[in-house]
Amino acid sequence: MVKSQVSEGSSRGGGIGRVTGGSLQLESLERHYGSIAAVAGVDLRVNSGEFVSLLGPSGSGKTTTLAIIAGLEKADAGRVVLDDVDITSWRPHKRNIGVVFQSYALFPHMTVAENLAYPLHCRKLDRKEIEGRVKWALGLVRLEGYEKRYPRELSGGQQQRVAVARAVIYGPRLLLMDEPLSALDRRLRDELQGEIRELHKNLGMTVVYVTHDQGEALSLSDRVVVMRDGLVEQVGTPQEIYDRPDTEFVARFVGNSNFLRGTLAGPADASGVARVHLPGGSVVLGVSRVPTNSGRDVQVLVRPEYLHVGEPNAASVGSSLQVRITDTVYQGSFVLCVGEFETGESCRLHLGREEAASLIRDGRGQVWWRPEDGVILPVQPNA
Amino acid sequence: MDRIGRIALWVVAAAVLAFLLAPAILVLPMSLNSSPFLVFPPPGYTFSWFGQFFASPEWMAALQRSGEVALGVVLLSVLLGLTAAYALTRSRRQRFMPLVEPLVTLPMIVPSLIFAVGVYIVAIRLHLLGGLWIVVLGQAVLAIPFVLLNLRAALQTIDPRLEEAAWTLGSKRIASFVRITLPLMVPALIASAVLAAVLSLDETVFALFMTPDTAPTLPVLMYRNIQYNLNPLVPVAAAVMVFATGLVGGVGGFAYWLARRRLGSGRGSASMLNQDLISQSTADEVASDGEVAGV
Repeated sequence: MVKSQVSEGSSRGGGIGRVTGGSLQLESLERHYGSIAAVAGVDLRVNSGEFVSLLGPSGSGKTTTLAIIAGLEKADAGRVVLDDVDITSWRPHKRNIGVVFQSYALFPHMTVAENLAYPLHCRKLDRKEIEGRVKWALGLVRLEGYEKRYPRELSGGQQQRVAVARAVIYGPRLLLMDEPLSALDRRLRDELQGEIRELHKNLGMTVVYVTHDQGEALSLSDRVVVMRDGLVEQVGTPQEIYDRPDTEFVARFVGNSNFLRGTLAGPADASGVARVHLPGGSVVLGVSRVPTNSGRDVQVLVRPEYLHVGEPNAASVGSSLQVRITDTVYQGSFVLCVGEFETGESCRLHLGREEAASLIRDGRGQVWWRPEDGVILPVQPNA
Repeated sequence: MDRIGRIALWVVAAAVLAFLLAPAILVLPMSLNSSPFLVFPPPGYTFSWFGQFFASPEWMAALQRSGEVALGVVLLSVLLGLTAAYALTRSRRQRFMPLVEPLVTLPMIVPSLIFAVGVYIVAIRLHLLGGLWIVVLGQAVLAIPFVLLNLRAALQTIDPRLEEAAWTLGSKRIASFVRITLPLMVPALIASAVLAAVLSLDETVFALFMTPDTAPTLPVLMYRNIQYNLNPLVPVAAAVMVFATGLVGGVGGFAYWLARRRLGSGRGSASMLNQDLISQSTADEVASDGEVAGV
């Protein structure tokens, strides 16, 4: 497998060109440290060429999961299957998986070119082939002319690029990235995010990307895996994760939210919309994500930017509430209004400048949302 | 006030330096003493004792023996110290490590006389006396704590992820260690070798007990000469030892400096003697001359 990949690449003038990324399957993966389960049973399928992010707070098991895939950590139970081959017990050097470490892990005593050539030497490629590939990889990350530099002579962003180039130069079946941008400042991070997206698109590689930055996960991924306490909390496209969170944990971890507690008034209609009674007597609408067996105590989640000021449009009648504004923060592209709903629960609104004007002037007003923008979730006692 | 303080500091520093260096420097004029008795100051100077020293088969054999023993001690202690340091810093089975460290560094605390007597008693029982190799073994035990601490400090500054990265890139464990971690440890290895060599060259107590009567190392032969007939060759031997130690330190220091320069980065290069104290300043120094070193 490895060999054929390599020779295939050589016929294309040094680079590996576009490859068909491998497919990855994790089956009931577990990893325990003493009595603590770092990974407590993770199932996940990553399709060929897919970009999947593992998103979660520290201690959620995302990095451990990545280390198990790379073979740097042992799984206590479960299987890692790459291209239908069980690699669970393989040593890391046999797996043909590329890893970009958080600290980049560039070899400080080797030049950029030597760093890039390292995996090629391990594969015993001939000199010409190595030269061609190193050139190709440097072009890939736009670092032509940096061959002779040492890692310490590069900026953080350049080091990060070398680390990526080194992890893809041998055409691995899978690329793992462990918070590769977390050490960089915000501006550079945005820039490199774009580069990683492009690289993924151009190479067709399968990528598993670990991050605790929800914005990064949403903007880079085909699918996002939200992890919590060593388990998968939800898997979905960025839009599904943001607009249709399964749990309060996901809603709170990804983006900002307003929460309103209430009681479910009845089963959802054909389009999935249900009515919720709030303590003050008001009734609001949202798409129900409540499992049938979980009782009638629920909460309605509305993202701050889905709240509008004024009288609701015809389709949204029945989803309006009074709010009182206590603070206004100008954020550039929007105005953040903070206050509380008529129920006493705190509220955040992201409004356009004009929309915010009347609220700011009066300090109070009416807000509404479209039924499909509200999400009804079960109440989690532990979240 | 400030001025007086500064002068006082200089005086104290000079006094300490003199106290440390004077004995070593004093042997030089003594070894050139024209009198056959050890009188100071020497009435005149001559190189004849040096001539006698280098012509004496007894002294030359002792010098060679010391060299051989030192070489053996360096190889053994660095090899064992390296494996121990690696296990202490990188092993995933850390359960017994808290026990290993004090055990391995114990020889640093145990008085060498007690250690020597203990080994002597056991060695007599087992009929192990009579070879230089037991001196090598014993001195290596004495050197290992220093080597271990030095190498461990170096390993602690090398990111373990480097080796893991090498694994994922396709190289086996041993190859990764040899190609990634070991080159980064070269300065610390040199420093450790120098430490072990210097330690062995002037180690007397253990060697006194263990060396065969007919085959003493240089310090042992010196001691015997001092004990029975203080002859003018002893200061010559002392001068030769000072010179040899200086040579080892000098060559080692130069090699260390070269290796650090080549590596450029502060990583993995423990300072010659005390990693913790000096590492910060060397890191700064490296940061400032990194560009020069890299070109």
